[in-house]
Amino acid sequence: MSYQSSKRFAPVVSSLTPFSGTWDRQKAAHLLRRTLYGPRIDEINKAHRDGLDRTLDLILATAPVPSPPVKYREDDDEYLQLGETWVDKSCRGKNQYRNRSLRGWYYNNMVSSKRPSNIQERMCFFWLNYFSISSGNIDPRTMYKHLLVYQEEAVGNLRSILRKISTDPRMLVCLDGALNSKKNPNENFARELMELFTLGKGPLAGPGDYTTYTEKDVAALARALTGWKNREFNFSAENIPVESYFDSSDHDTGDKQLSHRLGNVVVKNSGANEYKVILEILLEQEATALNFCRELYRYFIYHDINPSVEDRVIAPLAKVLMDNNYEIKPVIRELLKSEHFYEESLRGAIIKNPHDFLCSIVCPFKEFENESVLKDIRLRYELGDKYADYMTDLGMEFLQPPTISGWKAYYDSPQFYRHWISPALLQRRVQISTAIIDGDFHINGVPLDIDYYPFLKSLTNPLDINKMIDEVTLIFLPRPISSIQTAALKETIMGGLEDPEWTMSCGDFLSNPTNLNYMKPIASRMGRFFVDLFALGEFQLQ
Amino acid sequence: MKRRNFIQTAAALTIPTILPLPGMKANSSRFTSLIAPDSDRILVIVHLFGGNDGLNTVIPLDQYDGLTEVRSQLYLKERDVHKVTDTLALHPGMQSMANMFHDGRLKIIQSAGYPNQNRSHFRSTDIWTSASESEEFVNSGWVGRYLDTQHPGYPVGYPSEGQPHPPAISIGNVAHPTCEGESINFSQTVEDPFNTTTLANTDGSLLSNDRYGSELDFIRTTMQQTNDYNTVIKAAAARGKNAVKYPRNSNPLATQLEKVARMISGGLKTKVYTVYMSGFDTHARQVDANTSGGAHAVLLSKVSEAISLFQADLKAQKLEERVMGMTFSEFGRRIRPNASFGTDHGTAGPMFLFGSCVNAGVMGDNVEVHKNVGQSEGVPMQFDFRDIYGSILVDWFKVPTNSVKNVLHSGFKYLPLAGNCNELLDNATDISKDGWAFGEPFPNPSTREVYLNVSSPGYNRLRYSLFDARGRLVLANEIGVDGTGDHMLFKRPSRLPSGTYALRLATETGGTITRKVVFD
Repeated sequence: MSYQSSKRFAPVVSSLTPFSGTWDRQKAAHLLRRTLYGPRIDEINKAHRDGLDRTLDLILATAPVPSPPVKYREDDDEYLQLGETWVDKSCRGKNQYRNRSLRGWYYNNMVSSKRPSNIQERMCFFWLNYFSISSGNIDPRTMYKHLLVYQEEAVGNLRSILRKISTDPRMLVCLDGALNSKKNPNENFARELMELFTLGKGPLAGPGDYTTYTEKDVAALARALTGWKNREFNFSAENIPVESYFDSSDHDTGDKQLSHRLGNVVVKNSGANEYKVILEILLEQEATALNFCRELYRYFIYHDINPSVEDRVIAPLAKVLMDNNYEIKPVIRELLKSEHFYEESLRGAIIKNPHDFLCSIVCPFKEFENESVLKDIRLRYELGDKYADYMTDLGMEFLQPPTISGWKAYYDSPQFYRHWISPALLQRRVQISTAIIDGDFHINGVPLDIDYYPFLKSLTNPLDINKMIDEVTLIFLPRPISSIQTAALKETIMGGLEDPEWTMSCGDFLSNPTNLNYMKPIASRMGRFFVDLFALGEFQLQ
Repeated sequence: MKRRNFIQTAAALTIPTILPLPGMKANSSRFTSLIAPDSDRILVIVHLFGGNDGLNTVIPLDQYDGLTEVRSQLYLKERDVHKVTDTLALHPGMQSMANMFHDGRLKIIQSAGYPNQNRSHFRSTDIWTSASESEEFVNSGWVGRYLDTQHPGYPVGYPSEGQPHPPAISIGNVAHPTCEGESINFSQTVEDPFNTTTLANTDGSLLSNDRYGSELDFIRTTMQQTNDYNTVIKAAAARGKNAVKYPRNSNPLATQLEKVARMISGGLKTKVYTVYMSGFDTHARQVDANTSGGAHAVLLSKVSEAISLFQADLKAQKLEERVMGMTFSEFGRRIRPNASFGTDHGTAGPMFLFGSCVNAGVMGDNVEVHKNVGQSEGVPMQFDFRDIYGSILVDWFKVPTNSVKNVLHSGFKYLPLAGNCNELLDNATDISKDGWAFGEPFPNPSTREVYLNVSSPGYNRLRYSLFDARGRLVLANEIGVDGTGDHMLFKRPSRLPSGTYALRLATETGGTITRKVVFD
């Protein structure tokens, strides 16, 4: 019986003790698979050469944010030029392409091989899931605005991101902050701020008492957060960016009495700074740091947080967070360099989410970098948009988390990551990977092919069929596979021929990459090979 | 065709007389049927996502004073609606469903909901699908919990020779949360029964005994099940037919129900199907200037068209008595409209049950529409939705009320909803023999081991499941049986208290029978 996610294995013995074992390519690949999207062999090799510490320096460096999305096709936006960004321009309500532009931009950033080997994109999705702002296709300028926050704060500071998100225009709409008025307080944001974004909801200890906070605190915080409104939301005739502002006339200036759970503090009127006062109170609670570190753990390591993990991993991580003034980088670093992160039994146990799935297919090939047609800005954006459609098909709609709690894979017990898998979703996964690989992939009728030349060139020993397959499984699969599986994969290429045939054919191709007589047979065989590889159950794991 | 309440495959089994124990007489027959007998009945659940405006769906004709005042820009003209009784009518777009009503194939339930209505789509959908209290968080769905009692241990060992078909099917990409069991969702997701993708054969290489192995095992099982179920689904769809013409493309609900009818027609024994239609979140432009048109009218005419075609299809294929349907929406909308010719999230709303076995008619009183109703008031609830679900389980799947209380809520009250065909069913006796025979468990009461005399036609696997008095599965396993002999089924685990338990036996060929076990 292994269908209970709650199945317990031997208690975890490793802890945050720094990893001191042998730093091999498997471990380097494991680190990169969990922090980058679809690492390439050159990245894996570099991480192996650099060692753990230098690799972490690189991954956790503060990366520049990508340039903003642009107008990519002619549309009802005549005052904008093609290639010009719309994020800070007027918004007159007829700019349908902007939502698609944002989607295309996001997915192109995610798969681009031109961006640094950095954790930014992965953390961006972590935050997307953490705050789970969802409110329909409203003003795309605000959607961009909060994505920018996630990129800037990818490995920033918890206090800083909480401040930005608490007054984020889209959050003010999503959780009704903009409707939260002195006369008629709306508790929506105040409640989720404590339940999801900071303290976490503890066990019910009494009527309206959730151990970490009480209903009284919800009411008090709602009052403290009154007065925040949006300007130019959904419509602005001029090039005025959408933003929130503080309307002191709609702010409740009375004292707010918090419960004993929050130290019986009385919050005095602090006007536009009152939300910061509130956040300080919440951040001071250890519960906030613990709750945040559990989220990180579920995202980077595994969903099952048993008492031993709680004691030996979560609690020390929370301390690192608090000791470092809520800087996130030291926390993630501590986690990624720990013995625990490299523990054999945890390796490969995360079912890929749709982003992981897509990127693990296209990124190791540098996506379609070889295709000069993608210099056409419209095709480039439409390809990104197509990826977004795939994600919707796989259960992860762009900027539309199902609820404010985020995607079920990260909180819903006992299924957790298994929410990404169902008969229909698995079939769809195989349809998508097959479509991308099997040579018939196109965007608007323009065919896009995987270029196997640079891929094979980048391998250590592409001419040896067995070594080639071993290295490919290192790149694409979380653990080595059985010799039977390896033999079956080899068969898709060799079809019973002797190994030297590959050495000869592949050698001819690598010396004459443009000669179709050499290229076609390799491409079609590699295509079949990857279709089968991506259909393995093991490929769904990382 | 006579209905049978014990069979699930062509091969049925010998049912020896169930001997009541001394002092247990009064309850025994009820108790031994704690686990509902299998039948070939099917439930189709139609999810109208977004919160359907009940007051413009089922119109109280005696409330026009209030309606014209409160919903001045939204109410439907009396001359446009389709009368079903002297005081009740359906939306102008729902002619076909009004015909079903007159034909005895539609039940209208007024104002179904739950106390302390939550007005969030997602949260309220969770409540409707899990059948939880409004303040309670439950991961499983109500159908899933019912199926847990029918398929203990699922998905281990499924599909099998005796149970080759998926217990539930969700049309679309997402397994419907209603079918979420305690450990896994019972529904196979099917987008198109003809166009399925065969997943890679797993080579059965050893699974590591750790988290990776456990997740990989789950994925491989899903792959294997997907392929196995796709095979039977495809075969059923190929064997089946549709006897009426459904519209192409223009009506997504009709397209889904067409697939369901076809699979049923082809002999698929799946018990529960879910279909869905979204778009009911009509905050703006719900109606046109002429109120019988607009977004809501388009939606309801599609619902009406789809359901009536589905019913006609089943009728023409003489499948009517095996299928009933139920619609639900996560909430009704407010009585007063907003300023955008639309309505905002409200509370209770109507439900429809359809099929030839439903107790056709109207249940409940008309919604009262007062002229001074507040801006944010919804329709007050008359029926707890869990009583409706539970009564469907009782009437349709013959689940005893005790068991319904476990699956749904302890305060369950039965409502007569779908018992129209039951008299026939209860009199059924045509049980054929397939060579199996079972004695009574012994000793009974037992302090430790439980034995059973079993006759099997050759070597076969026998699966047993033990349920406590609350219907919870407490033990399950299988044994090999060859010919006739006494078998020790299990030793009583020390965790099980004294009391009466239901022992469900399932043969490889698909027969099931329930026996009583008492621990002393």
